This record gives sequence, structure tokens and C-alpha cells, in this order.
Amino acid sequence: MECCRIISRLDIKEKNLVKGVGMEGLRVLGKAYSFAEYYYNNGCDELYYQDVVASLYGRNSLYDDISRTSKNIFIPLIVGGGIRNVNDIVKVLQAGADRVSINTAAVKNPNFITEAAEKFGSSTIIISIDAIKQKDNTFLVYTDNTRSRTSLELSEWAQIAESKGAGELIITLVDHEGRGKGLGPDIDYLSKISKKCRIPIIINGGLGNVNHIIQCIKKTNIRSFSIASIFHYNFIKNQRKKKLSEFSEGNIDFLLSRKKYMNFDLTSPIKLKKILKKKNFLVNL
Amino acid sequence: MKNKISIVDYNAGNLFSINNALKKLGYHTEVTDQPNTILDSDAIVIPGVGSFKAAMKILKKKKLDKVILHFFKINKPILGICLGFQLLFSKSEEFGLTNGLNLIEGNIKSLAKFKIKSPNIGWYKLIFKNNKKKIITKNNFYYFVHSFFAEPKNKNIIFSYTKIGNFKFCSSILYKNVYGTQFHPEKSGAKGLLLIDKFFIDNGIQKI
Amino acid sequence: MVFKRSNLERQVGNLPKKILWCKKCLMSNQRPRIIFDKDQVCSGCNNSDNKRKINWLDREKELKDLLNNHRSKKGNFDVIVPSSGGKDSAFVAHMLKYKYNMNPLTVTWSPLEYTEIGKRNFYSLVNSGLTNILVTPDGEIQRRLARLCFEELGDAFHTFVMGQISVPFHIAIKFNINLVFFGENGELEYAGDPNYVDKPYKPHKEWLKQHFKGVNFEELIQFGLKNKKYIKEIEKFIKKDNLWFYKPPSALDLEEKKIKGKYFFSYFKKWIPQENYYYAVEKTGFKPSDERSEGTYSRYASLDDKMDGMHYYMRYIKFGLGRCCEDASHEIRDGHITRSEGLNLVKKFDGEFPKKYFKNFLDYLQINESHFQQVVDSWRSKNIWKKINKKWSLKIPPK
Repeated sequence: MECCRIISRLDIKEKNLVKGVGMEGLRVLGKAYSFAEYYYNNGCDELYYQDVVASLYGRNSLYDDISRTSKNIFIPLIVGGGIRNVNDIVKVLQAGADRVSINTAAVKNPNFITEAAEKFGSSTIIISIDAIKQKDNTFLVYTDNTRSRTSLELSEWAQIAESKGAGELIITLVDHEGRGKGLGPDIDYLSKISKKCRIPIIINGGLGNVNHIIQCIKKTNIRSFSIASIFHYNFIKNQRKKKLSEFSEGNIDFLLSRKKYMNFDLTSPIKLKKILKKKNFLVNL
Repeated sequence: MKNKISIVDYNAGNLFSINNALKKLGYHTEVTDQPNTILDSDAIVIPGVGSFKAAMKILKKKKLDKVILHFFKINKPILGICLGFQLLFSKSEEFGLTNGLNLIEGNIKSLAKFKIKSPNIGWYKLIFKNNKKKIITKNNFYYFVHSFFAEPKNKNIIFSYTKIGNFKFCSSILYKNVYGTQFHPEKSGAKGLLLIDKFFIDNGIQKI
Repeated sequence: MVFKRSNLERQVGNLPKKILWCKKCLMSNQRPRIIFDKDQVCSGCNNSDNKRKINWLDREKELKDLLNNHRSKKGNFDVIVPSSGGKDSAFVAHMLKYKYNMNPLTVTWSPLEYTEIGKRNFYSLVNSGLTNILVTPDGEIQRRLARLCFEELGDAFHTFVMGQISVPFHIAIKFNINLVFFGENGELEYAGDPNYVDKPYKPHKEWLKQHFKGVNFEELIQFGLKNKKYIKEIEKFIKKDNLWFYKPPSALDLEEKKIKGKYFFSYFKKWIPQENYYYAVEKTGFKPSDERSEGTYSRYASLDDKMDGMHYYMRYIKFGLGRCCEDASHEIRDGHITRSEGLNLVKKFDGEFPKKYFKNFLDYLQINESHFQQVVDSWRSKNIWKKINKKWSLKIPPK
């Protein structure tokens, strides 16, 4: 039986962890590193840092966070956002990342996947795919942090990325992202994709509780789950009150207000894994 | 003079994690591709992620293949991780047949041929062959990311097995002064660091 | 025959000759009614600084007092919330009902042409527990007026804008509701004529100058009847009752009903459009578009009308300021993004041609592309635009 990985996804902007809904909105929830540290100490299997303004500037700027993480946190780190060429990959790996996630650059030039896989090993190269359901129920691929729509269909692009040498795929069904309501009937679509793929897939976005994960396990070949909202809103729940002066920029109004948001089933990586283990799923616990 | 662990730099991916892990444990390290520096060290780590073929090419070019072999002969401790572990063997099936360092007899084979999803990425248990050498921790899961696995000729050197479903493969070896792991102890959390630490302590490497 | 526009529109002729960009945000002095101080900082930014000093607890108390005075004890509707179904009005309506126990009546002045996502969000809002009156004008009159406004005011969308301000007040009078709550004070949030800054409501006397581009509706109609065949054709149908939407009620009628003016929710609650998005997603089932809005960088703002994109595009033509400049400036003032980030966004998206619904636009106005181009070009001031090798570009782009 394959093991289930619980990955924490951190969207990062200027060292702040931000959290949107449907990949819109950059609400700040705190300093990214403090979340990472907490997750490392609370059962997280892997960290995934996504630079959310990278596509605007054409470069990844998370080097400080990556470096600090690599010095103190000894679980795998995936880094994505603004990775355009081999040099960008080198810089990010040299800062301390283990694997890179590439989205826009791969769609624009699929041969880049091959080039990267040959140079760094395919297991280092993850292709991240953001897809939005259209009116005719197909899923189209979006790039530039969902700012540009392509005419590529999700399953089509997944196959191409695999054939070009990707080691793994991260798939985000954008409509579900940030809502904690699971994937609904779209899980069947993912199931088809996962059965055609020979490389592993990570599901990102929309997972709100352990039942959503179990449903994925039962209906698809997917065993890796990238989770954000239910972990992040849980972490800030018990944090001390933050001050305006701690943040140089960002939408921090929510954080200062200490409101509750959505009725998420808040949890931590270790709590989630304990339930999975109880239900006889293989987890690192 | 303080002990030094050299991390062999042969352009094979993330050296920084193992370097940081060793530093965190309190060891004096150096990342280097210089033969003399390596030979002068008290222990070496061969890290690595990527292509076996490309790695051997660079090792040969930098004459590091000979350096490692010599290091082995003079009985100083060697830790090989993932690709670094695989390179110690005789041959690999990746992209046709490529010769390895041949420190250890045996071949590197493809997981895909055994119908294992490739690359195999995830946390799996180590099943220790010899109870006496077992590291006792409550959680026995370690992080793997690989598309190939090692099949040592001499089964006695196998330190741990790992199973993915019914498929069983060698996940680490302990052979003379060499400890080789298919998994990444430097990415397996605190217990992974403990494993690394134990190896160097058992081999008399002192911390700063 | 080459199109030549009149001087009916009274804003573009009065813009400063020297183009300046605000040092803090991404507005220029070409925005009507904006004021730049001696440090080249715009009134929007200066007002925003004042916003930081506001005690929001005090403001909430003011809100509660105001609402206490208007809350119906008989179960009648007691507040009107003009609403498109978008995130901002969803926030206001939902808050007034569920947090402050009012009985809001949402009033929607129909978009010129509803988008799918707009309709969807409209029903979502209604289904979250809000009553709505949707007012849809005579389509023939609306479309011809839109063409008139496009040609002579440089904005087809002005027909919508006129109704957006007027209709809620007509409904208020008819339903005996004397409290009308808009979302944000545009002048405060986007530019800031200091005379109108930071008040809980804007008295009805002050609307004309700001919202109607200095032209009252009578003037507009007379001009149309006199000069445009497509308006003259329907002269007999332009009867009083068909046009009441486009003009606000008289001052007398409003005073009689004790309607003071436009109240702004943004006066009482710190107005953060992005947080309105999160609220609407959580509480009213709001969904962003599956496509980035043309001319800017988000997917959640101003989604309802197919003609909307052209409205922002014409702002870009007339003032050199598109949608992205406005959105980015707002976010800079809110502290969400830096000016540098805003500038990158503006360079990427501002003035993007709204091609998604371009054909709809031409069909709606019943004009062809050549005429469209002539009208557009008639609005390019020599002060703002230059043409090199058949390509138009801004003389002084954002920097």
C-alpha cells in the first residue's frame, strides 16, 4: 500500500503567508516561517512554498525563507513561483529547496520540462497545474497565477507534462481552493487523470477534512495532499494578537481583527494523520 | 585538530540540506570537490539526486571516483544518500547500462519494471534486518524519492528493507565503513538526523 | 463622414495641461476632481492617510445610532441597498440584515447586458436571504441613449451610471424608505474632492457635478433629439415615464420623504474591497469570474456587465487612466501592495482592450467597427496621446 503524504502549502508574499479563496485575494495570516516551523513540529510530511507575486516580477523571491527553512527544518521543501529557466532552478535549489514546482514556464515551453528533468533529475521537477471548470464542464489550464487562460485541457496537459519528463504533478481545481468543501463530483474527473498517469500526483486545494482525503484515496490513485486553509486558520486561532507595525505591507485587516472565517474543520497535520492512521491508512506517524 | 566531514560536490542537486543537517548536529563540514580536501577529511558524505549516468560522468571528470575509492580503502567512514548510495554499486540500468563506483557488488534497477509508481515519493518504514542494529524509535518512517533501487549481491550487508505493498527492496546497507541509504535521512525529520548522528558517532567522528 | 464630437462633456476640456503621476499611488492629475498637493501626492492618498486615524468603534456607534432611528418596527423595509450582486453590495446588504438587524430592500438597476457570472452572483445574493427589485429599462431607449453617451460623453456606460444613482431614490420614495446605503464613497476612495470627503452621506444637492459629467439629463436628451437621427426616431416614445430612471427625484420630493442623500457604508466600516470579496464568498455564495477582468488583475471586481470593460477602456482613452491604475492605487493606499508592484501590474494590464465582449458592444450600440474607432479617437486628447507609426501611446505613461 502506498503511503499518504500530508503536505502543507504556504502561499508567500514578502515573507508573509497569504491565503486567498479560489486563488483570489491575498489576505495575510502571518509570517510564513512561523507557520512552517509549527507544521514541521506538528507532523507535516513536506512543505510547499509558492511565491504568489513571482509571475508578476518574473522571478522567485523566497530565498531568505528557503534558506532559513533549510537550516532548521528537515523535511522536504518544494518551491514554486516564477521559475522560468534552468538558472532559476539552480538558484532555488542552492538556497536550500529540494524540488521545484513549475507552471507558466512549462506551458509556454514544454521542452523546458525535459531540459530541467535531464539536468536535475525528474523527481526534482514538479509541474503545477491550475485548472478552472468552464461552462461546458471541461477543465482548462490557467497560467500566471490564474491570470491567463489557455486552451489546454487539464487531462491533455497532464499527459504532455508527464511525457516530457515531469516527476510529479500538483493539480489545483481552482474553484474549490480555499473553501474547505472538498472536490464534489470533480473527483471523478481527477480519478480519470490519475489512472492514466504513471507519475504521482499531489492534489492541492479544497480539502477541508479527513473525509475529503479518504474519498480521494478511495476514488483515485492519488495519495498526496497539499493543504492550506484548514491548517493556517487553525494555527492563527491560538496566536497572540498581532500589531500593525509587524507587517510592512499586505492585507492584514483580517489578521488584526481576529475574526473567525468560514466554518472550516480546523486541524493540524498530526491530528489529520492520526485519524488516517486509525482508519488504517499508511502514514508517517 | 577538529574532525571534518566533507560533502562531495559533484553538481548533484541539493547539498545544502545535508550540510545544514550536519551543522545542526554540531559537526564541522565542508562542501568540496577538491581531492586533497576530501582525502584529508575524517568522513565523507556522498549526497545526490538526479541521473546516475550524468553523476558518474562528472565524478570521473573530477577524478572523484578514484578519490572515493581510496577513501574507502583507507577505512574512513562514508555515508551515501540516495543517488550517492546508488553510485557505490557496480552498474545501473538507467539509460542503458552505466558503470558505478563498484565499491559494493550489485546493480541498480528500475522501480517501474516492478510496476511501482515512479518516482516513488513518500514516507515508508524501515524493516531492520538485524534486530541488534535496529534504531529504536516509535515512528519508523523515512522519506524516499527515487525511481531506482539497489540490489546488493551480498544480502548480508543489507541493513534495512522497505516494502511498498508487496514489493520489497533494500533501503539501506551497512558494509564495512560505508552506510548507504536509499532514503533521505536529512529530510526525515528529527529521527533522520538521529540516524545520521549515530553513524558518525559510532565511527568516532567528533563534533565541534 | 468623419465623426466629430461636441463639447457636451465638461470634464476632458478642464484637465491640467501638465500630466503628473502621484508619488504614492498610480493616479494621475488627469482624473477629474483629483487634487495634487505640493509634494505631488494626490488627494486620494491624503484622504487615505486620514482613514488610518479613524476610530472605527466610534464610527460603528454612529452607525448603530443611525440605524436605530430608521429600523422599522412594523416589519417594513427600512433601508435600500443599491446592489448589482457584486461583492461590495453583497457585503453591505448582508451586514445590514444579519449583523445590524435591518430589513434591507436591495435594488438593482439592470446592467446593460448581464454576464453569466453576474447573473449567477445576483441569484446567489438573493438566495442568501435578500429581497430584490430589479429595474430594467426600455431596451430600445437604453441602447440608443448608450450610443449617444458613447459618442458625446465618451462612455456608453453613462446610461447605466445615471440610473445607478437615480433609481434607488425613486424606489425609496415609492416604498417610503428614507435610508439609502451605498457602499463606498467613490470620491473619498478614488480621488477625493476634499469638500465631499469623509461624511456619512452625500446630500442630494451635490450629485450633479460629480456623477453626471456636468451635464444634466435634459440637456443630454435635447442634444440627442436635435442632433442624432437614432434619438429623433424614437421621439414619441421618449415620454416622461420612460425616462424617470435617468434623473434623480427632485430635491423637493426627496426632502418631503426625509431622504437626506447617499449614505456610505465605507464611512462607518473600514472599506476594504478585498475583504468584501472574502465576506461575499463566505456568506452570499459569491464566485469570482473564471477569467481575469480585462484591463486589470483580479477576477472578482465589477463582473456583471458585458459593457463594463468598455467603460474602463474609455476612461483610459479620455484620461490615460484605466482600470488597473484605479485598482492598484486603491490597494496601494490600503497597504496591500507596494507602489512598485502596482506599477508592474499597471504596465502589464492597464488599458487592455476589452475584446471579450467587443462584438457585443458593437451590436448593442448598432455601430460598426469603423465608427467605433472614429469615436474612440475623437476622445484622445493631444495632451495625453501621441501617435507614432500608426500606434497610439501615452505621452507620459505611469512611472
